[in-house]
Amino acid sequence: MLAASCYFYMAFVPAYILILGFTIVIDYIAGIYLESVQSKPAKRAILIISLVSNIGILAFFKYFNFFNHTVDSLLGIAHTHTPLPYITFLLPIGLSFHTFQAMSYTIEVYRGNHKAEKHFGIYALYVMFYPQLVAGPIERPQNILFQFHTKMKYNFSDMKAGLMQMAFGLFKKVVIADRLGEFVDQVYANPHSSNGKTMLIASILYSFQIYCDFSGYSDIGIGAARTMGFTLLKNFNTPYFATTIGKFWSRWHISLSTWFRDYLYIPLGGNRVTMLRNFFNIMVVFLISGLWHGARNTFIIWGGLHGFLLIAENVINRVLKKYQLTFPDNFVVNLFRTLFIFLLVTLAWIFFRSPNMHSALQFIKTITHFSIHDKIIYGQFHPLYLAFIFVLIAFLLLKEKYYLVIPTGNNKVFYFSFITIMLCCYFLGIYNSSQFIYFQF
Amino acid sequence: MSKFFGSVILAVLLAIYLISSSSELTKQIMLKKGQSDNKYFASDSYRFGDLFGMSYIPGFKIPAVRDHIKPVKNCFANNINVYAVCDSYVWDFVADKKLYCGADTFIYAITNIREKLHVKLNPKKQNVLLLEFSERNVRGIVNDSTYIDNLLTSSDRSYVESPESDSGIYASITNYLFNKKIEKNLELNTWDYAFLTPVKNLKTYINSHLLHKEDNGVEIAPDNKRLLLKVTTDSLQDASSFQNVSDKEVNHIVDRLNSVYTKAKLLGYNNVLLSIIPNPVSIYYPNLRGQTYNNLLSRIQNSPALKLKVIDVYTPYKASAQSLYYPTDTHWNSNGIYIWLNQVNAALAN
Repeated sequence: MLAASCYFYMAFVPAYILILGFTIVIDYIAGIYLESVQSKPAKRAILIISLVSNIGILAFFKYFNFFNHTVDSLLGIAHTHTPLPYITFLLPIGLSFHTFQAMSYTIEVYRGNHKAEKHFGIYALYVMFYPQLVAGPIERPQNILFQFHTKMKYNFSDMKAGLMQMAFGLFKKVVIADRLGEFVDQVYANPHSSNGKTMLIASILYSFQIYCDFSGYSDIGIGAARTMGFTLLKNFNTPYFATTIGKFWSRWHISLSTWFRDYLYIPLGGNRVTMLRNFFNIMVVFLISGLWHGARNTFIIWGGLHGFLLIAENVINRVLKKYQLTFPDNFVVNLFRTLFIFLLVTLAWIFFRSPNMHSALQFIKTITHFSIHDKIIYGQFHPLYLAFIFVLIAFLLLKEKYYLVIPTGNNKVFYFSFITIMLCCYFLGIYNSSQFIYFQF
Repeated sequence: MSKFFGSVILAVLLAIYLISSSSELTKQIMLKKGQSDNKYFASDSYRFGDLFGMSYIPGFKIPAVRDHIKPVKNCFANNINVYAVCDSYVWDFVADKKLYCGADTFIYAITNIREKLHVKLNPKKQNVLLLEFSERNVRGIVNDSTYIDNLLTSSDRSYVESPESDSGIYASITNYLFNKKIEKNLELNTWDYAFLTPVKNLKTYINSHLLHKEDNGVEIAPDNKRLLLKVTTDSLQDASSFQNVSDKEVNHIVDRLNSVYTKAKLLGYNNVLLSIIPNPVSIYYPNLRGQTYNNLLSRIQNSPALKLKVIDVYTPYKASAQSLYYPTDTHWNSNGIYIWLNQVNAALAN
């Protein structure tokens, strides 16, 4: 399994395996020393060395040019420039994901929540396990390391469940996400020839595109691991059915949200501090979460917006609690709350999708000029094509509402469903080599 | 028993993967499949035209049979070395020195993959540089200054430098083990068989008739007589015959071509020929969907600043009543080739 994972990683840029190997060796040794050393300052020093080596590589590859550009812009005010050159190289694939996964190991060993892994190969596999190497879920040692010690046995039920999850993940990617992406890309590429209604539709479609793209990858990764008998963490749980921003974040990219909760938010004091300090903690977590996605202002704004929304929600909840008010718990109110949260999330996605701040603001400005009388600019698409897209979204929402996991207990149902999904993937799928959106992170 | 079948399946999958890791082996298999008449296992990717192979649009399964191109007759020139910088119009159809009047040597570098020419010119011979671009590629290639500025080099031997042919053991091993074309190769080795063509036709039918969307980069001509490459018909694309190209850019293209001419002359070439092959849509449908042809080709060829000798096929192509391109392929057929070849040979003979 380790050899397969190495091969998988090296298929991108073979030499980068040396960088990953370097951090694996450091973290492996750090783990063993963290367990054996008794002195707290020594433990802390080892943890810091491990974290610095991980974050250092992440910072160098992902943020060096961003940092350089920012310093350059600031120095530009004084008519001078940074002497540091810009570096052009390919970002190692899945860097942010496996770095965070490696850090969670050393932190857990430091905290005494998990024993150090003595077997180097198994530790290396923990970092490199190929189904989740490039885009998560970001695993925890408690969940996966013991599974690597267990002798793998072929299990037909796991095989069926894994294959079904992979098939539907592929369906989400090639049938829904990439199809939505075509329309979204067209609108984002030609913002000046679009109107408010078209841009609003594109924004809504992007919300579903990124969900299907990312959760589709997670499904494929989790399913692939399942076929081999491994259970990975759940990464999505119908996020667009959330009625609050807080709930949205407990359902979207769960493995990253819980990582930030456990290793940043709680160490900062979490919510067991003053109200203002709590808000500060929330904002820090979301700004860093935005930066985690990429070295771009728009990602930071996206994170900041979510932080702001969560703080606003917190304030509203405190006010409601003070006056002993609650939202009625019925279908209509919940539907409106869900739609409202969806629109807020969609608004934030505009920053995530836009190449720069100017484009994002321009996009939002055009949406504010929305008129019900606007004619949708279909461009190269037929109205029927757009209608089909909405049918797909409706199908997805119904499926997620009633069958988050497609049942595979009955063999006949399994074969029928699996073959049907695969046929749909072939006949309705878009195959133009578009990458998974989260591969860039 | 199930263990045995499992092992067999694994072995077959591994074999397919290993074969697909080799682009050369896959290419050989493709050639064999392309030449085969087997109605189940032949390849339909190219024998009905590359546009059919891209799109599998039902109703366009028209054989794109290649005629044998005959060598030039009544040629009185000799001692000519032809060095071509070209795309598939030349290297795939007319890359034989026998076709060129008086040619002792015919060496070509392929522009699409940015091959460069390193040449030791023989001063006792007529050294001719032939620049051939298809209309859809000319802007992209000529505007690529890092390529065009280093296209020609004098050398102690003549050879073509290809960015795709990394030398050394490390490069060879990594190219095989981590072949960047493996997805395409796997597709060709597992999915490119004639018996699957109806399935591909059905997919195209569903997408075009039910969803009104083609995902294959191919468009059916308004008169239903031929297929057209979408990048040449979509005005948003640089390769399009309908994208507005400013005079400034045309002048820039001419300047870049002139710089190649100057360099070639400095290196000792006797003659430099320029040939731009029109997009089929420029010839047959210059007002497709109400658009207007940008006349890029004539604007370059007729620029007074251009120093290169032009092999103009646009004018005779427009005047010709014959079919000059395969209806389901991006390339010219033998009629189109002979018009071009006659002009090239006339230029060589002079």
